[in-house]
Parts: sequence; structure tokens; C-alpha cells
Amino acid sequence: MELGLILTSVWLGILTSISPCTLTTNIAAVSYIGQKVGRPHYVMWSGLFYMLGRTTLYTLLGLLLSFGFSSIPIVSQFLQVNMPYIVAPSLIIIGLMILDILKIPGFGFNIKKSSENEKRGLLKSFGLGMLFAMALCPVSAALFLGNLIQTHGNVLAMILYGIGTGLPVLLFAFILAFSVKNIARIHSKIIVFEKWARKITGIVFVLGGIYYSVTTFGISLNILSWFTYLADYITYGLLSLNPTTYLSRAVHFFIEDVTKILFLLFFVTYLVSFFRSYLNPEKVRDYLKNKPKWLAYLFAVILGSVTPFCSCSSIPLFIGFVEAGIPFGVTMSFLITSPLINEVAIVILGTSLGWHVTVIYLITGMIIGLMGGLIMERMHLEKYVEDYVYKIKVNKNNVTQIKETLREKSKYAIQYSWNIINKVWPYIIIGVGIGAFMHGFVPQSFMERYLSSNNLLAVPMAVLLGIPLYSNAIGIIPIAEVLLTKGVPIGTVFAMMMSIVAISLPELIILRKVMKPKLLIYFALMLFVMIVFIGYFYNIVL
Amino acid sequence: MKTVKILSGSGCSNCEVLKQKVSKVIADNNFDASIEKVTDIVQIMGYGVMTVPVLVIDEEIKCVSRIPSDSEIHDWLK
Repeated sequence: MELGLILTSVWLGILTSISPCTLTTNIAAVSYIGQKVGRPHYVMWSGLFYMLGRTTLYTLLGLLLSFGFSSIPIVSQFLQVNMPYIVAPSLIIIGLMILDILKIPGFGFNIKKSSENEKRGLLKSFGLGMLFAMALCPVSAALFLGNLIQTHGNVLAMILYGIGTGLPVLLFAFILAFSVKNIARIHSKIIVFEKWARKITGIVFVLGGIYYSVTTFGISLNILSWFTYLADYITYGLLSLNPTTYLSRAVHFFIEDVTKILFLLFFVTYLVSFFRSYLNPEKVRDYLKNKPKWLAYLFAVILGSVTPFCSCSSIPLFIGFVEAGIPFGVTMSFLITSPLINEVAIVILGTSLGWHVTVIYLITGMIIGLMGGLIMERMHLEKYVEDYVYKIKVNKNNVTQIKETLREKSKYAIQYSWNIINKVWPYIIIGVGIGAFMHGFVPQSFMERYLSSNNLLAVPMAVLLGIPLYSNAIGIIPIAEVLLTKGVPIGTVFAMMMSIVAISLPELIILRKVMKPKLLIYFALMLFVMIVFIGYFYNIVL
Repeated sequence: MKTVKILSGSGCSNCEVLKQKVSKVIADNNFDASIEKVTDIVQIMGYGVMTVPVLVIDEEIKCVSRIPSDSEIHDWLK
């Protein structure tokens, strides 16, 4: 075989290695192999075995194909059409296993023990090479077949091609191994680095897998459209309702919103509670301590909007903050912002009312929190806090932060999300039910007559109505959505939403434990005035 | 004999769920344990926590602001 052909085969292999699908898998492979940077020899061998895996598969495939050229289209068709469906999800699964989120007994990609597992580790690299080699996209398939036809099924050409596809990975393995060898003395650093490398590897696998899945399965990335389809299917298909009737409009709205909101609620709660351990109220308290006042206020509203906690925790939170020496106003800013801005509600708000409206809501909520805290401090309302609060001794040595693994975090997050769903689903059903009824049956003229911006009483009435009404923030969004589409001005809708979540009777009763009645009245009155003002303001400006 | 305390806020439904879960695990396994729901804020603050529910077994905080699974509760009470 002449030199030209040898070079061509290797070159075609290298070209394949940077074609879209192969590149995704090769990047994943590099980070997988690079995990064990502490052991340069192992990294090099691992890279080599990965390349060998690829080479073996391409050679076998080449041999198989050269028995009969006529079958090429069928086989490559199979590899192109079917293999990505296997490889794409495998990437995600392997990534989750590396992250230790998913565990399959007796089969782990998270190699922790050193020497005894190295042989198995090398085998895994080899297997990974074979698996990833099977993922042929149009580009890489063309290159592979091109090489095959050009060399008339020469075995050596197949091997060279396989080597070429894995060469960049091997190269990276060498670079990693050698560059690290020089700093190998700082061993403790490397262990830390390996821990991070493992996490990054897992994430690269999952992201690569998601990207690859999306392109292969042709999934519509607009997940929200799935719920519209579902509602279409049930309303017009299963129930065969006439799309022009009021009833079908109400049913469609109900099905779409309930499924969408429950899905988003679970998904966002999962994410939030997964990352919650990085930002719990105890940490917020420590951030806010000894900060200059303006910075403390700013942090209080920002942290208040991202830190989730149940309203039944407001009392311990309040006392904990005050005891830590955080100014009264800053504490109040945190307590006002937190229920007003709820991350799940923000996502649902964004998907149903649009991100434009959501950003306005977000900023408004923060401004209310900030103003509320500042005003209460300026009025020296801290003297109306129940006296015993200042006498409580907070024990600080008792909490031992238990280190949780990613898998435990994920498990707790799923448990937590189920708890939340269990708790708020009635609010969602009721909220969406009311929304669906209004959407289907209440005519627009009715809304315009009573709730338009010409009716000056509409805003304060909406706020007053919101005080005894207690709902989860998520439950009112479908109602807000309908009100907006029926032509109720945005200021009125905002005022109602904010009053329902921020001033609620149950919350006030809870706060009575730490606040004297006078303070409670100021607190509620101040929020009332601010929310009414904001309602009018947006009705005029927007 | 173990003493189990559940630190709870007022009107906190998750705290009640936790209490019932723990009671059930104790009853099902015939564990020798007493269970008490603590709602006194002064006592709660004594544990240095700021979010409820909190599960305390023999004065040791086991978990904060989440509802553990039955098997976890079982392991702690064993």
C-alpha cells in the first residue's frame, strides 16, 4: 500500500473525528479519560484503548462490508438511522452515572478505587470507543464509506482510518498526562482537581447527550408546545368537542394549563431544591451580616427572590436574622421579597404571560421589598417587635452541615418536589378551573365594564380582594393570564397577584407571634398602599 | 429509649406529615422511642435552625427543611 493511500486513510479518519457527531463523542471521551489526571500512565493507556476501540469497530465494520459492497447502503443506513438513537441516550445515562446521580448495580463509570479498577477502566475506555464509533452521522458515514470504496476494502486502510478518528483523543490524553506529570508533586491539589474533573465530565456527557438527542430525535425544543398538542388531542380527539364552543375552549385551557403548570412546578422545584443546599437561609444570614447597609438591602432583595422557604418558617427566619444583628429593615426586605418573587411562579409567569411582563413583575417585586424595608427602618418600627424576640439566645454550634453527595441531593430534590406538588395541586386545580371558566364563558365586555382602567376603584378593590384570598403564587397565574387576555389592564392584574401572595391573612396571623399589632397594621397598610400605587402606575404607563 | 423531637412552625403542613411518618415508623418496628412536636419558638431557636421542619433524635439534628424517607427515619431510629 503506497504512502499516499496510508495518509489519505488517516486523514479521512481525522476529518471524521471533527465531524459533528464524532466531535461530540470525542469531546466526551477526552473529558472521560482526563478524569484521572493524577495517574499519567493510566490516562495515556486509557486514550490508547479508546482509540483501539474505535479502530476495532471500524475494521470489523469494514470487513463486514467488503464481503458484499451491495449491502453497504443497508448497513450504513442502519448505522446512520438507528445507532444515534442508542448512542444519544447512552451519553446521557453514562453522564448521570459519572455524576453518581444514577446508579446501576455492578456497573459504574465513577472509578474511585485506584489500581484494582484500572484494568476495568481500560476496558471501559475500549467499550466507549466501540460504542462511540457506531454513531455515524451523514458526514462521518460518507467519509467512512469513501475510505472503504477508495481502498477497495483494504484492512490496513480500515485500521488506519480508525486510528485517525481516535487520534485527537489520544493526543489530548498525552498532553494531559505530560503536562500534569510535572506538577504531580502537589498531590492533594490533584485529588481536588480530579473531583472537579469528574463533575465536569459528567456534565459534558449529559449536555453532549442532550444536544445529540435533540438533533437525532428531532424533538421540538419548545417543550411547552407539547402541552398544547396534548390538550388538542384530548379535547378535539378523545372528547371530540367542537372547537368553536365555549365548553371546548374552557376544557382545552384547563387541560393545557394543569399539565403544563404541574410539569413546570415539578421540574423547576427539582432544580431549585437541588441547588438549595448551596444557598440556604443560614448562608443568606451570614452574607448579610456586617455588610454596609446599602449592600445588605440589595443582597436582601436579591437573595429573597431566589431563596425558597415555606411561610411557616418566617418566624424562625425573622428571629434568626434579628439575632444575627442584621438590621430590622434588611430583614423585612428579605421577608417581603421572598413570597412576592417565587422562582417557580416566575418560570410559569414567563411561559404564559411572556418574558416582557415577567421582567417587569420581577423588578417591581424587588422594588416593593426594598422600599418596604427602607420605610420600616426609617419609621423605627423595630420597637414594635415583641420584646421576647431580643432575648432569645440562638445556639449556633448545633447545626452540623451534613455533606450530601450529588445523588443524595437529587434524591432529596425529587422527594421535595413531590411534597410540593402534593401540597399545592389543589390550588392549581382551583386556579386553573376559575381561569378556564372565565376563559370559556365570561365575555370580554363584562371585564371591560368592571375592570378597565377607567374604573378607578378597580385597583384598590383587586388588592382588598387579594388579602383574605390566600393562594399559592402558582395558582393565580392562570387567572391572571385570562384577565390579561380579556383586556383587564396589567396594573390591575399585578395588583391582585401581588396582594394575594404578599399580604395574606394567614401570614399576618403567623407574624403576630413576633410583631405587636401596631407593627402588623403598619406592615399591611404599607404594602397595601405600595401595591395600589403600582397598580395605578402601570395602568397609566403601560 | 430515644427521644424524637419535631421542630414545627405554626400551620406547617409538612411538619405534621413528618410527625406522622416518624410515628408510623416507630409503631411499625416497635422502636422504643418517644415523639414530641416542639412548637415553642424559643426552644426551636435554641437548635440554631431557621427553617422547619427539623427532625431531632436524642438532641442531634438529623435533617432540616425536608421530609426524609421512611428508610432514612428507620436507620436513624435503629
